[in-house]
Amino acid sequence: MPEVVLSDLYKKFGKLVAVDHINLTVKDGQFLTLLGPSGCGKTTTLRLIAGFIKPDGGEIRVGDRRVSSIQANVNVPPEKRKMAMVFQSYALWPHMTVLDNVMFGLRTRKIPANKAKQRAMESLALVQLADLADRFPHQLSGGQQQRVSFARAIATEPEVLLLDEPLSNLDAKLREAMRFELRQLHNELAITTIYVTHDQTEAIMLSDEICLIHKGKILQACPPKEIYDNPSCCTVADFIGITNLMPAVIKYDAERVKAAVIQSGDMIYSHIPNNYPDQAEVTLSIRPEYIKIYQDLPSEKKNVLKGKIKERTYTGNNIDYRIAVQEEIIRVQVFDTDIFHQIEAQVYLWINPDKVTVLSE
Amino acid sequence: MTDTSYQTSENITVWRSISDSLLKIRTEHIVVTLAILLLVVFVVYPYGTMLKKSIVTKTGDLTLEHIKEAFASGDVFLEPLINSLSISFFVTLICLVIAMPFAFLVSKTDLPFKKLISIGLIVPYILPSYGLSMSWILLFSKKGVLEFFWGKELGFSVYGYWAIVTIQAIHIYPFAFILLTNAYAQLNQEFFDAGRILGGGKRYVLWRITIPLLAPAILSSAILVFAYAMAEFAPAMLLGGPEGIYVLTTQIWSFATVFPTNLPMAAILAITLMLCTLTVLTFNQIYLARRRFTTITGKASRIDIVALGKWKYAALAGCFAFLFFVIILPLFTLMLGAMIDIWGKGYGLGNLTLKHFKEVFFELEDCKRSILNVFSLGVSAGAVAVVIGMVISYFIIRSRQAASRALNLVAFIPFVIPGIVIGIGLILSFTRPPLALYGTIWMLLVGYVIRFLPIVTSSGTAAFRQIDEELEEAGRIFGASWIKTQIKILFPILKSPLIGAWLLVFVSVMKEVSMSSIVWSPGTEVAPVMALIAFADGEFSQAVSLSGVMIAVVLVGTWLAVKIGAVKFVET
Repeated sequence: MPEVVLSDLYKKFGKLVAVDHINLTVKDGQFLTLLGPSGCGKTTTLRLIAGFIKPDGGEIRVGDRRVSSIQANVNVPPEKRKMAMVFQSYALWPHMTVLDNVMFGLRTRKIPANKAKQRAMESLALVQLADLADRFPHQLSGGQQQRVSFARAIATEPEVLLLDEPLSNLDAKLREAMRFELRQLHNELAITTIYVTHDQTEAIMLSDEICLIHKGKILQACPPKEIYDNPSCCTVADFIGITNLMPAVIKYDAERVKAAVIQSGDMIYSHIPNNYPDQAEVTLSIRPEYIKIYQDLPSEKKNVLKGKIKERTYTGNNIDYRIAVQEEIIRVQVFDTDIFHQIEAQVYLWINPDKVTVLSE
Repeated sequence: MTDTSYQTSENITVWRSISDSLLKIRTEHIVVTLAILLLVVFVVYPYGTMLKKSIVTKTGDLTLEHIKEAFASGDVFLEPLINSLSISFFVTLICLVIAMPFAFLVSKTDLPFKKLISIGLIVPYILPSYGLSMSWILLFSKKGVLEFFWGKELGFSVYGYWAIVTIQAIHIYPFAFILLTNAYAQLNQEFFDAGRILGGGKRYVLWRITIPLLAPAILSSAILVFAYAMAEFAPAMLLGGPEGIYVLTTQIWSFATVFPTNLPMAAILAITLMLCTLTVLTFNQIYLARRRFTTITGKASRIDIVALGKWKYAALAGCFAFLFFVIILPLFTLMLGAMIDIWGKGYGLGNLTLKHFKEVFFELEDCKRSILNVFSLGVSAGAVAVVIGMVISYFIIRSRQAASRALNLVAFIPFVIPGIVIGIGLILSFTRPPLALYGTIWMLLVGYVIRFLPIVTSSGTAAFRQIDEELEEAGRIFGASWIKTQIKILFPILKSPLIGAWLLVFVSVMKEVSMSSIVWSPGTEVAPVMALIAFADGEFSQAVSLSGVMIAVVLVGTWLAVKIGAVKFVET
């Protein structure tokens, strides 16, 4: 399987810049997710890769094939790109049976009918739908349609598999199940896959690498764990998971150690990179599960704040608190659901210094 | 003390809810019964008499004589039948050829002024076909408008077979255009993208995906256009009559109204015409039911706009040129025609006058009466149809299966019956007591209401379907009775569909000539029929000024209906 390389990719619609000079490499057999809010340019990027739209600048390479290049004036039409795609609406053709849908891509590749049928059936078997081959799409449930759409895509053994929010039309339970199935299929087939979604949980669960796009630009591209633990900026920190974003100022303490002073005046110690000088204004990103609540003053000397419980929400697998530290509200998630702190109770918070990310802005 | 009063009020509530549901069930029964009665008296019974007329002699014996006579006399039965079928076939063909590219242009391309153009394209459908036919004649006839401005003789006959085809096509293509535009708009772009990315080239996708997906809509619009063309009356009467070309509708009219009348023959032809339209429309219903799956689309529906590039302005010019020929030119010609002082003296400013409008409004007794009649009939038929139609619609949507089906039938049947057939059924059925309506204005009122009831029920059912039953339930839970809920909640919400439906019925009455040209009698003239007859008699000024009044009213009425949002021809 080849890798996919986007260099300096650029696309605008009228005055709106949808894709703003994107550089990205999707490695051989990798599952990469383009993640971002709606309108960020992720779907446009996918459609540029598929060849449905023509870029206004830059280049797209698949292995050693240039499929789009403004400089070389190359734009390979979608049907010649050896790709396959799973669509948000599934796009199963209503006038064809399930089998005919899956065979379509094989017949366009001039594979003889009996051979094509055999491969289509294999592909349907892979998604456990071989027995529904003669049905029409409207006779299937949403989840089954989704799988047919997937079988149709992989039957052609594409070099690159594109998925455009394929799970967004399913209900929550089914979506959860399909995520696992999708990941499993990818592990088996190891097709270079580009996945578009606005759902960060989906992205984290499925991807080898997440590429977060915002206003047409890539903010960060790295494995899920890294993007979660070390977001590169406030937008990323805010978009991936839940976080507390706290404005702070860098100062030296009495022992000449750098710390961040938050609005309450408390000092938060962590690994502050050297490029933040004294008095620099920063934002701290602290995940709610990395903050601990104590009823009495804890033994820790540093990073202890005094607060008052304002709200408490029990969610099943955790308790979600909103705690006022002077004017600032801090969100804390506690996974030990046997202890409930009462509303208005005075508590102490301890912030793990290893889990504080210092961000500029 | 407090306990008992609580008990009493609870009892009252229980009783009220029981009486309410009884009321609803009883109302439902009454409505269904009345509707079926209506169907039997004004729809089934007339066809019964029509059938009876065609197979029973004057003395009451069964006979096949009339049918034999029909088949034996080729020129009054077979020839009109073949003319009707072949004209409708060509009309269908032309309508599709016109409608398909326009539907594509306005729904899939970056053509400028799309909205204006799609409105313009629908106008010939809004204009009455008798108006279009008259303008065609005034435009192309000897010493007509075109010759006057062109300065040369055109040298071809304005009447005849192809004139009928042309005018009908111009009048009906918007019907296909509306259906096809909406079909295009419903197609999900991802269907085509999926075909491309799986290796299908543009042409392959066109043949394997686009055309099969559009086929049901194309076939369906072809069938509807065909049925519509079969039922058309005015173009064949004005353009075919002078050359002796008859279609079923004009032959029926001639048998029913031209001395010596032959009602058995009129009945046989009417049944034949009805069978033709009924067959194709039934086929359409069955076919559509089987093809229902084609309407499934996903949530995401993006339309990729085709850039026309250098063709953009050529296409725009083409659209405007077309609109000039089908709207501006006919309307301009009619306007000139209505203002000619002395025929034969050209169309110069010196020969123009407004006196004909004064004549038809104030001087000529029969014209005056016909205008008054058509307006009062339009207003009252609209009101009656809206009341009956809305009640029927409500129960179609909210009733149990069986009742709903029965009502649907009542509402749907008149839709598939050509107006002229309704006319024949009425004059055959209501000439004797107990319902001796023929010769009275009531006959026309009944005819219009039956004919245009489907307009009300189609917009009524659409409106009720959009109103969630929860709105009604919310009314009930906050303490309003069933009747009160209807008045306080449903009625205000339905106001604009109600007014819209009323307007559309009113406008349709202004355009109707096929049913009314059979049913009218001296004293109950209506302006469209009056115009038609006057034109056929060579009273052009009278005819055209009457038509002009009708057209103005029709255009304003339709514009109002669109304005209040009751009608939406094309989804954009």
